[in-house]
Amino acid sequence: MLGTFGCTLDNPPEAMPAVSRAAFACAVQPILARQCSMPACHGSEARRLRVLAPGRLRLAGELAKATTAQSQEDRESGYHPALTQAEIDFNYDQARAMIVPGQPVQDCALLNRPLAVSAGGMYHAAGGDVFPSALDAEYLKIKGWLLGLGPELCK
Amino acid sequence: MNAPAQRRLFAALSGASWRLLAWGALAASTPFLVGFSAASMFETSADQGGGGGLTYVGSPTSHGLTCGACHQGGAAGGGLALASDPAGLFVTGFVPGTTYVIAVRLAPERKGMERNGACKAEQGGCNRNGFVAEFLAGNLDPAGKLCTDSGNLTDQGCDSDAGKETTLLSKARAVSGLSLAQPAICGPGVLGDCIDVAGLMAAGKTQDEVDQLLMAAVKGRTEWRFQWRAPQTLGPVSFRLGAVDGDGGTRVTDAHNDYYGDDVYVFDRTLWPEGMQPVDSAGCVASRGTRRGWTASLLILAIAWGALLRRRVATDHAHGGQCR
Repeated sequence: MLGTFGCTLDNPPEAMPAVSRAAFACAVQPILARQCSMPACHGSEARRLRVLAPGRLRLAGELAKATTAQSQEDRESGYHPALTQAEIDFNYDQARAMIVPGQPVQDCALLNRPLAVSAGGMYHAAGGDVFPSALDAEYLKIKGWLLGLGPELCK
Repeated sequence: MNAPAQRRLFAALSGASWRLLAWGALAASTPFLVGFSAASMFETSADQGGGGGLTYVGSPTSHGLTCGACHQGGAAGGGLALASDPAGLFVTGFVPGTTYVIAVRLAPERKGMERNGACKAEQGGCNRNGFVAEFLAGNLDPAGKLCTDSGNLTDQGCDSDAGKETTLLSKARAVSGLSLAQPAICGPGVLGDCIDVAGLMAAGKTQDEVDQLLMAAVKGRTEWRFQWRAPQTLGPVSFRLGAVDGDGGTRVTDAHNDYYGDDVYVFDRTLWPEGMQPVDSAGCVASRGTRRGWTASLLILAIAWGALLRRRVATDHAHGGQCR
C-alpha cells in the first residue's frame, strides 16, 4: 500500500522563521558571543542552543579554513580567526530555531531564559541572569530582531 | 580595542626578536594571545575571542559567571593562598583608607609544569596561570582603589595600568595577574636565581644558545601581588577572586592553550571594616568564603612570605578552626 500511495505526514515541518539574517549578524551574534558562548554554557555541543565564537566552540572544517586564510603573522601570534560565513549562518539557524510561531515574543527562550528571574525571566542556570531587566539594551536588540527589525538594529 | 589595533598589538608582542636580551624585551617576545592569559583579552570583543569586558570572578558585574564558565575538567587537590600586608585583611577586616599589598599564590601549582619554558605558537601550549580580583561596594561600583604591584597608588588612583606581575582591567575595576614569569638577568641589584647572560657570552655561548636558555627559563607565574587602598567609608566590601592553574593543554588547536583540564579557584568574601564584622551566636566572625568549582577544595592558607612581604602576615584559614 505504501508503495502504491506513498507516505504523507500530518505534521509537516514548519518553515524556519524569516527573521533578518543581516540584523542577526551585526546585532544579535555579538551578544550571543559575549554572553552565551562560554564552553560551560552554550559553547558546547551538548546544548540545544549552540553558539559558535572565536576561541571557543567552532566548526572544525570552518576553523581550518579560517586559520588557513589568516596571515602567517596572525597565526603565529595566536590571533583567533573570525567566524566564517558558514559559522555565522549556523548561529543564525540555531537562534531562529528557538522561535515558536505564534508564541508571544517575550516568551521566546532567547529572551525569557537570560532575563533575570527577578525581572520575570525563567531560571536556567547559575549565573544565568544575563539581562537585569526587560529594558536592558541587549535584551531590546534581541527582542527587536525577533519582532522582525532589520539592519537598523545595527546602528 | 578594534581589530586592526589588536592585531598590531599582538604582532608587536609576539614578533619582537629574541635576540634582544633585555628583560623587558624578553617579556614582550613571548607569544601572547592564548585564551585569556593576557589581561587585555578580558576586554577584547568576544567576536575576536575575548571576554567582552566580563571578568569572570562570579560577581554581578559578570552576572555570576566565573572562570569555570570556560576552564573545566580540573581535579581536586590544589590550593590558593592569600596574604596581606599589613596583615589581617582577610581575618579581621580592613582599616579604612589603608593601602594593602595583597599576595596571591597557587599553593601549590599542580598543572602544566612539564610545559614550562617560553612557547611559540607553533610549539603548542605552554604553562600559563592567572587570576582576576574585584572589590565592589554594594552598588557594584569599585570599592577603594586598585593598583598593580609596581604602580604608584595615590588619592587619584594608580599611575599605571601595567605592572610587573599584575595589570588593571576595566578602568581599574579589576586586577589581573600576568600569566608568565620571566627569568631574571643577573646584574647589579638582582638577588636570587638569575641568568648570567654576560657570563654565558664571555664563556663562548652563541646568541642563539643564550636565547634558548632564556626561553627555557620562562615559567607559568604562580605568585602575584597587587595593591588595594581600602575605602574611607565604613560599609562592607565584596571581594571576589577567580584563579586558574592552567595545564598548558593544546586540545583546541596547536596554537592555543585549551580550557580543559585546568584547575579553577573561586573565592568570595565580604570584608568589613575592622571591628564591624557581624558575629554569629557562637561568637564566630561571619565570613562568606565559599567552596565551589571544579577543584572540590578551595584552600585558603596564609603563608608567612617574609621574603616577599618582609613582614609577618596573619594566618587566614577560611575553613579552618571552629568557625566555618
